[in-house]
Amino acid sequence: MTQSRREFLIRTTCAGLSAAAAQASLRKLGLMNLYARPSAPTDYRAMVCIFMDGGNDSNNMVIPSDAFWDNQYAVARPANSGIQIAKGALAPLNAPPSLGGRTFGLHPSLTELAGLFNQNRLGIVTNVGPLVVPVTQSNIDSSPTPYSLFSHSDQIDCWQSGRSDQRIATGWGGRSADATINCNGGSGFPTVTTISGASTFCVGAGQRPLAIDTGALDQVLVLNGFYGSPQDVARKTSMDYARTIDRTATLIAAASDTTQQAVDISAALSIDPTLTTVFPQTDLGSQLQQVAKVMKLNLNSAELSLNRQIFYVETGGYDTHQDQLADQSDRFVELSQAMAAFYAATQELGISDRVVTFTLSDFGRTLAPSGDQGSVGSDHGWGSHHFVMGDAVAGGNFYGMPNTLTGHLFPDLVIGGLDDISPDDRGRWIPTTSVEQYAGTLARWFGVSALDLPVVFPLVSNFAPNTLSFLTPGSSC
Amino acid sequence: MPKKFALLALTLALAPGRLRAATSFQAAYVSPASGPAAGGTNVSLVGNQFLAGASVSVGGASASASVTGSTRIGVTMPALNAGAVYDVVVTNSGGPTSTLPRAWFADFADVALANPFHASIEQMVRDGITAGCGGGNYCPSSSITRAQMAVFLLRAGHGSGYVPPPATGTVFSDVGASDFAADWIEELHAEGITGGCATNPLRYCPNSAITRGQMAAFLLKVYHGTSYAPPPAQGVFSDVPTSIPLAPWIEELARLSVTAGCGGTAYCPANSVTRGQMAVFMTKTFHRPDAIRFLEQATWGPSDADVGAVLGQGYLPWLAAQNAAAPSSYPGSLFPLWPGDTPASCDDICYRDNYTSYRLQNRFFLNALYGPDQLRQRVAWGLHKLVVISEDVLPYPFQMAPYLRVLDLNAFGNYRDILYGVSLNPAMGEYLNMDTSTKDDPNENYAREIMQLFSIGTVLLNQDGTTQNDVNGPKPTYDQAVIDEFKRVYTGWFVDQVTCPAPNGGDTCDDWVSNMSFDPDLHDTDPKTLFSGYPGGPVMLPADQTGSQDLNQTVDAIFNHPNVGPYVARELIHSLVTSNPSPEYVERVAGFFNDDGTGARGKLWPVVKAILLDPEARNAPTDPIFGHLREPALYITNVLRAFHAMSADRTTQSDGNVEPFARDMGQKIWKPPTVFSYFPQAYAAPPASAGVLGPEFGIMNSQTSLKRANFVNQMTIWGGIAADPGNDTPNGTSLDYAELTLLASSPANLVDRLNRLLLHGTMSDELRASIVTAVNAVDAGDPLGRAEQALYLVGVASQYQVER
Repeated sequence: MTQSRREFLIRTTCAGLSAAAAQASLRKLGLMNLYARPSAPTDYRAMVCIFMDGGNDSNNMVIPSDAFWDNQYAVARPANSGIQIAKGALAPLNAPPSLGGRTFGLHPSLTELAGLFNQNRLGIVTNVGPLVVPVTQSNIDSSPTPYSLFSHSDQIDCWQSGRSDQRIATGWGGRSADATINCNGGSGFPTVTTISGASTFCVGAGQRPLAIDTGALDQVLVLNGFYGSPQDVARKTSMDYARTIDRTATLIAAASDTTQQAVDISAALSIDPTLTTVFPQTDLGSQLQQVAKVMKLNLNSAELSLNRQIFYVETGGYDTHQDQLADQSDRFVELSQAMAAFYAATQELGISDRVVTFTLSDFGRTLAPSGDQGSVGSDHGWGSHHFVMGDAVAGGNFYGMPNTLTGHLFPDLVIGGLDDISPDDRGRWIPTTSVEQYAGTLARWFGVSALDLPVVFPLVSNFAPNTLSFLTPGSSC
Repeated sequence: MPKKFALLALTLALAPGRLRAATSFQAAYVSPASGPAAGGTNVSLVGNQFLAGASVSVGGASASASVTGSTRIGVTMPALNAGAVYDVVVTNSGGPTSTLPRAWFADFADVALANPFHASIEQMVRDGITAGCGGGNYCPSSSITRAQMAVFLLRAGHGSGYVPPPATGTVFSDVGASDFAADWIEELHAEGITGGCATNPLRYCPNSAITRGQMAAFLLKVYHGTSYAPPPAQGVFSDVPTSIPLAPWIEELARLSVTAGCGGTAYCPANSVTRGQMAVFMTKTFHRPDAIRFLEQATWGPSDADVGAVLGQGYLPWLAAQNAAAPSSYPGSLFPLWPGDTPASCDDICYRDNYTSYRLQNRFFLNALYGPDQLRQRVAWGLHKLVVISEDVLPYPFQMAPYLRVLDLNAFGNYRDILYGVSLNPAMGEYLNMDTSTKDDPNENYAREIMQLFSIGTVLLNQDGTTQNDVNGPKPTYDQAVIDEFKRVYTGWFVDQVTCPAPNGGDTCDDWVSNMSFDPDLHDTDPKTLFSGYPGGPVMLPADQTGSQDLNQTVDAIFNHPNVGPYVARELIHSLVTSNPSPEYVERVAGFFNDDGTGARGKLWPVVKAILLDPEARNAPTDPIFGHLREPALYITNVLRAFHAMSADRTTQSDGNVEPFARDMGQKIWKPPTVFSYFPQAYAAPPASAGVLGPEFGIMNSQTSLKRANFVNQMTIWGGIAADPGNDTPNGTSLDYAELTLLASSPANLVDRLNRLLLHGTMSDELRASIVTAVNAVDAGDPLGRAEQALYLVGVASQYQVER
């Protein structure tokens, strides 16, 4: 978050022109043909990103339920640590085939997600995180690592931008949208919809995301005060015109374009679809309900009819430096119930095989507890585990790259062990799977071609294989 | 579409590294910029890359100069001829020179600094309108003749270099072709500004003293253009009946706060005007855009009254008055300590007032709308966005008010006091977990954020705010080992308990007012080495120090890190002036942070002055990336202050409850979503591929962009916020449409008025024509409707939403 403002000015004429040209083309199409396409979407695919803000302690999310609980987990987090999840309380998972007989459970507040795992509708990717090149404890001191490790804002940027050696202003969601724009057949409606602000993940070079909140869909983009009288019409005409002029000043043009997009889209958001699926009335539940509504609108509305959509929602409160047991449990209840309802909604819409929902978070947290007795938590870490959900996912299994020092796919829960940054650290896992491999798998399924993959993820060639096997690549249009 | 090409290009953005080479040698400005002609005034000459041994001359005369840093030279002004402006030339060691044209004004012999007309007379000379009355004097008490005034007005209207066509001597019977100012007088007639003083024959009365009444019309015809017709007189002054032809002009001059009259309710229209008064009238009329633009940066929004004050006093005296203004703040008398558990006696209103942010948010807007300490509030708000706590974790006003007082009371103080003050503030302790960090279980949260967010950032900066790079990219300021050392400092502190004051006497309260208490048993007393292996270190803290010793030495270590100057300078510039300052601007401001000129570091008042007085802030912008999107708080207050927001019935103050509009626009006042504030420091304005910084765009999106327009709609088309006595908007909020309604018979006049007040005269012809057309669509018999139509359209225009 601290880089020089002027560094942002590095650009090429090509980048400026191409982005502007792309926008102009979208605008033109949008205005001429207000998102109208003749048919319902074919080969619909959607990615739904759930960002767990603050850095989720996945050490208490996916937990061994076999002897490793006793020999590793409970040693690092003993009963009196104030942060232990009891073995007997775990929500049991079927033994993941990739872990050769080892067994695990989820945090007891994640019962719905455990159920989806056991129905093979949910997979777990272990120890993912930002990397520049693959590193282990034995070569980390001589290898490049992501900028500003353990810093919230910087690690969020690494996760969301999809590049960890330098700061860039676009995100891999936005770039995936740019790379699959042909799938959407010239619709001016944005590929990316965010229910939680225009985070880096959502930002592409050519398109800007639709950003709305959880209000009724036909009410979120409404200009008040216009009733059709001649003076209202004159006012609307003038304000619309004002956005097309005085564009020399960069920020004035940016404000005009942001508003213009809202005005263009507002016409397409003319109904508030209803769902029979009941969502929990929580922050995340409401956000995912809105995602499902936008999906339904898209499926049923000739005005949208996108073949590719990307959604972004955010759920906060994961920065559990203290009071972790209570706070994280509350977060997980909200997460699990909301994700399960959302999965049910995709079934209701008949697209549960066409929607993949996945989690991101700033970082994992230290296995070693922090804070004093009674208000215990954990500090900022690095690698962490993540969920991928949907019928397209080869669920019921764990995925990722094994630690090359141990051969283990699931990190050894040993403070100072071979997964730790160093023998004298506090249980901050060096990721064995890069963001590129995790996100690249999602992007390839979504329709980013093999050729475009290195463009969306500039460092992907540093990691072999490029992608994991929890999803298979989709059509790139 | 050339898809591959576009995709390749978009990943090129934001490669780390310097955009420009190091800042280059240049002089930027001198402050103060005037003083006695006899010399001896000590001034700061501010610029970039000054070298030891640089020399300075003023008007060709050598000045005593001492370089006090690469951005500042202390100069003692030489004796010069009175009543003139002089170039200031810096010669750097080695020969290169940089010239500041007309940078220094040597006072007239008869107009000392203490003279109330000094600032305006200086401005007249700088504008090239007058060179005085001869002999180094200005003759401020002499009456000004109609002939002299013709020269003044045309130079003000056309620029100092203007030369009127030769006179014919045939226009006015009393002005011959070779008479003094004949060219000017005839041109004044040709432009329709004067019709003479009498007809048959047509005469001008060149040697008559001009009256205050006549002057009003002359000034405004030049200012507005001769086609301008002021709205009908309302009877503002007791000695100016609405029936006299000059009354509308006189009242217009009063509405613009160019004059408040001659005392009491009188204007004295027949009195003659002195040369000193004329300077004030002219400066207040013709420099309005400068003052409005300055106030956009220095306050919560300009109003005509503020504009008059700035122009009458000049920037430095206005700033001094701001420094002296008592902080509005969030006093303990209004936000007393309450128990964390709601007393059983607490009803709904009590709960709203003491356990929700309702009153704290209202107080924010009331302070902004009505508080005299405008600049302090703006700076404190900038500090709040930098040194963040949030209602998200601290939901009660009695928790947050003491933190806000730290920022308010130190906004013009020393940044070191802010770092130390917030470190022991209980709300901050709770927010970033220092209050539970102990030697056995140290928590690194505060240790990390005080450096990453409050002071130095994660990468090493040059003094111009650009990033220091090596072959691996940006050079980090610290690593985890450094954090691990720092975190042991902040151990042993906790939020103490006290007996609650009235009205909860006897109960036990968490003490959110006093600094956190210290328990030596919980403090890590081992020795600590700060910034080991990194710039700023190593700083050794010996074993067995008290918590206070450790904390003070640690805050000093952070405060003295070379990053703090450019980091704080950059962020405050972002908050007050522009999202995209040049490195030179950042460097000049950082120079004041590093050394205020007396060797003191971290003083914010010199930093604030340097931000606002810098030519990059003051000069009309030429860089297309200059400026910033008005964040919701600023957008709301600018609209409200421009039109004297009051209660719905206009009898009392607004209740201040406008926060729901800010919330709709994505900015919950006092509730930033994370410690990274309301929007990311480094957010790029769309399109991101252009790589232009626009942090406020982090919360301007599809939905909030329309909510911004809907706020303006509420205050215009929908008539303001209704009063709802007994509930959350007991007074309501409304704008003053009296003047706009007066102007509504002429849509052009109406739009021009809004252009000057809201856009400091920068509205494009296309926008003006479009809005005039829309205003004409409202029936002339509905002047309020016209006024609301016009204000809506200017208010929602991106040209207004982005402040340049």
